[in-house]
Amino acid sequence: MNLWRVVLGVVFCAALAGRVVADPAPPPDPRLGDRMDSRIVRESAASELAVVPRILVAPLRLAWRGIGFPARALTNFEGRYHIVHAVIRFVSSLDRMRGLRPTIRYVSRFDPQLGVTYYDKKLFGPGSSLTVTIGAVLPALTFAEASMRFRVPDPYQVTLDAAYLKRVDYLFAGIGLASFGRLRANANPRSRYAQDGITNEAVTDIRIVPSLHVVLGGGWSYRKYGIGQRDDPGHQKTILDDYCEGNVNGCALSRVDPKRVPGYYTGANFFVTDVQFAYDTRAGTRDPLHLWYRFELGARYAQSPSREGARWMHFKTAANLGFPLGGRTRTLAFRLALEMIQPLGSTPVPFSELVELGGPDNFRGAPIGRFRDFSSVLATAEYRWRIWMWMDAVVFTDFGGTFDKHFGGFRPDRLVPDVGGGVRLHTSSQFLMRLQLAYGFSQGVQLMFATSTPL
Amino acid sequence: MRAALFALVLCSVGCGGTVRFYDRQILWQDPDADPVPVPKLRTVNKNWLRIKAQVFSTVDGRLALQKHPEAHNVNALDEVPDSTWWQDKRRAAALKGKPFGPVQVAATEAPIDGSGTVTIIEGKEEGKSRRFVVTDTKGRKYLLKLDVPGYFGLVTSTEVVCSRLVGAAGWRVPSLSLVDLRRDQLVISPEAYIKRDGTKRAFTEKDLERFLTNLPLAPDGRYRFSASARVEGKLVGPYSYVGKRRDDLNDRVSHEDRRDLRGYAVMSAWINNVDTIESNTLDAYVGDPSKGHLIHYQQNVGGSFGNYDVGPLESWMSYESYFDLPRVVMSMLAIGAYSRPWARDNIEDERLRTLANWPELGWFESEHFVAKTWSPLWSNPAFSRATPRDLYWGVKRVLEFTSDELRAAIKVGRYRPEVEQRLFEVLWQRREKLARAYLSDVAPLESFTFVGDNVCFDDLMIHYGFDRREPEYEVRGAGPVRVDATAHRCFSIPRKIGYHIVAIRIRRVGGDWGPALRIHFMKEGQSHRIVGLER
Repeated sequence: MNLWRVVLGVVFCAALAGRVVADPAPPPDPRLGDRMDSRIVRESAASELAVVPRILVAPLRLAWRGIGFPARALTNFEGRYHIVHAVIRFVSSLDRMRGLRPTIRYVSRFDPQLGVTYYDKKLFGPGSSLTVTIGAVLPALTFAEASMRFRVPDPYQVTLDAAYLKRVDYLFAGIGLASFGRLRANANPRSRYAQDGITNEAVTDIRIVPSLHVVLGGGWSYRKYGIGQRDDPGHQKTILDDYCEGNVNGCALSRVDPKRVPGYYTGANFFVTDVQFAYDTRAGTRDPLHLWYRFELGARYAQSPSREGARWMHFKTAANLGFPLGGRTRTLAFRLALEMIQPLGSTPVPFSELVELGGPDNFRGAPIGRFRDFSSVLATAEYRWRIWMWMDAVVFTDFGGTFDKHFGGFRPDRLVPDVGGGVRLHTSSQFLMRLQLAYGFSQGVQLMFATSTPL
Repeated sequence: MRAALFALVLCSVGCGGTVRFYDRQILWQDPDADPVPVPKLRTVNKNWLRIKAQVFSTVDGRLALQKHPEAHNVNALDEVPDSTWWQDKRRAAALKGKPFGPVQVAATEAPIDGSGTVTIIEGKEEGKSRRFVVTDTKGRKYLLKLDVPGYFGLVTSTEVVCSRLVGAAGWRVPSLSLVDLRRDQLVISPEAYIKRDGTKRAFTEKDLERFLTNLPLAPDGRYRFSASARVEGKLVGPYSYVGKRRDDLNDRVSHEDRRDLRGYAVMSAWINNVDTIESNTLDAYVGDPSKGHLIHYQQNVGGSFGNYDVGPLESWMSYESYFDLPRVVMSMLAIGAYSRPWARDNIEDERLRTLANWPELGWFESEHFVAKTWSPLWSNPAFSRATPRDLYWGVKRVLEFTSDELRAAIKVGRYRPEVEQRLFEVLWQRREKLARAYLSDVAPLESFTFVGDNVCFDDLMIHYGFDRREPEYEVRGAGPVRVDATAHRCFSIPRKIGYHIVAIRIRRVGGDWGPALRIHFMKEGQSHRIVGLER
């Protein structure tokens, strides 16, 4: 067979070489199967051999094409009934200035937060906004938040916030320093408590110069505590299990120890007054091209309305430094944040108002509320880079810890590290989706997924 | 076993490697206008088109494990014969002895009559895009497109100018014209309606006011519209950039293997036509049923220059498609070391500056334009299969425009003088970048003529002034190249009768030897004829 091919090939080539045509033939006719370019073409051995890998991947290709059929049917169905459009029309106004959007927030080890946010960007005129979010994972979690931003003549901006949040899965891991040794011994605290909370605050943001903002605020907050849920008795405890008064031979009194959990039975009811300075060299530019820094300094005075109630000051300061590495697509940022609570009376500060570390927004490798004390230090290094027009990726590491009053007992080697990474899908003004994974020393892996988070 | 291997090697090396051409006349007209029955209306779902273009076709193409074959609808001279898809208007004019120049480039067949009233018979609203279907005083039907707030001429002038350029280069486009109308010239027909999300209702004065709100006005206070004349014949939907239309017997070449569609990538890159999705094409059946045939149009070329239908292009547009998974994954894995060109420091700043200075043109420039990395918004299967030969053919379509022709086309857009100048400069510079990119991938030699026993030709790099230094030519199978009195390059050919192949390579000053061009010709007595060009 192969010998025949050799012979035929040689004869064909010889015939071609000696071919003499007196007049050109008429042009090729593609209707008769002629090649338009009049070429004499033979399949080469190489192209014949290439059939082999094609046959091998043919099942994969067929499977891929198989996926295409339902995808096409689905999009055709959508195209016929305009479901997406109908949903968008149903949940938003024609100009998209008001409407509804889903709010999802999942943090590992906590109940997922599912809700709906109503937004209205023209109710109070141009530049103003109203957002109202309500949601629940009944019966454990219920929440409602409202935020109103008013555009008043420059350089002022007034925001009114009100929030109600009830959940039964708050984590309490005790008050006090978490040293490495203690962390190992108590690696996975599971004590849960419940809280009904109301927070109201009015804030005026005054832009002194483009880079300098002064924020003045005031408000009232109320907290009531209870025993947390025990969905999974084998793995999750309530605050009563771990912080029971006289907890020697079981929990005989069935009572949370008020010394170890101050304010548990009295709750918290306090007014606050805030003042905060922020100096930011970015001055409204989201992605500056040059080195930028931001410095924050804030103080909050809180006082219970009753005479014997608690009074305290809450000081915060943070320094941020950003290095754009080759344009707007890569940024290396550092942050150092210090917080401190200074009690002003003899009544203890309610445990929920102490400084907290943990959770996807500050110390990302630990669960929300994992560390709690009178002062905290958190150092963060973060590298962020763009992977798509609407998506960023980030890798980060945090070093943080909580300490006693006035940073008592602070030692750098008592800071706990974490590492992690994530992606965020966003438009120019808000996150659409955020996914984050972090690992904290002796804390395990923390996963966070959220939608509709403000940028 | 050994014998089989030997046979394979001999056949592939000894026979398969040599290209020969039949001695036939050159095909200049594709016989694809034979009478065929009226094809069925083809409807497409835009969402599916986008998913298909961006995901399914791309992956399927990779799984095919096939080197992209050369285009099928090319003649022996590596040119595209005239067809219902594309027509070489310059060649057609030359054959008829008619001129082809600035006047022909700027002309259109059926401009709208804007002297009287136009009657709105339908309003169209899709997202932020708003359009009217109107009839003019002569009863002809047009689709009117509006500008977007803040950008006078961005949608309207762009579409009209680009339709002139694409049309003059040979692709079939609907007849487009610009019209400036006062508010009182717009009259609503009693039967006028508007369709939105599948519902139909009467089009009212309130709708008209809404459509016209915030629209930028011409200096004389009139509204500007681009008017697209209704395409002649029965409309049977868009054509696909992949496969063939099964109910069209004239459709013999898979569309992704059509050079006129592959080469359209270069034209699109030149005018920055980023919106080359399938739904912007159109097939129209002309003639009586069963006696007619299809004509294939590029229906919407308005997503060009710096415009994307409802506003100026974003800074990343034309650099990358909507979802380029390999690039996203590479960016992710490289932890920022792999940076996208659109993300460079100065691009966004420059975009804002450009929009402020030339809002009519949107984000359209030449400085950062890189011909080979230009990308439409949606992957185009024909573009991604384009080979150097296809792109070379495409760039020749761009290079054919003289500066006068280009200025004549721009004039149709009724821009401010400084905008006209800016647009000309940008297009002229992009043209040069395209030429430098695609003329070097093949031997850019054209216009072969026999002068006695010599063959003379033009080197396009020199002909268009992109290279003023004489390159080095290496000729195999004939005498050396010399420059004749008319500045053509010529070489002497063998005197022996029969089939000859002459190969030419070029080395430009400071460069390496480029790919060879093989000229296949027959010599009989004193006459010669080229039977094929092998690039």
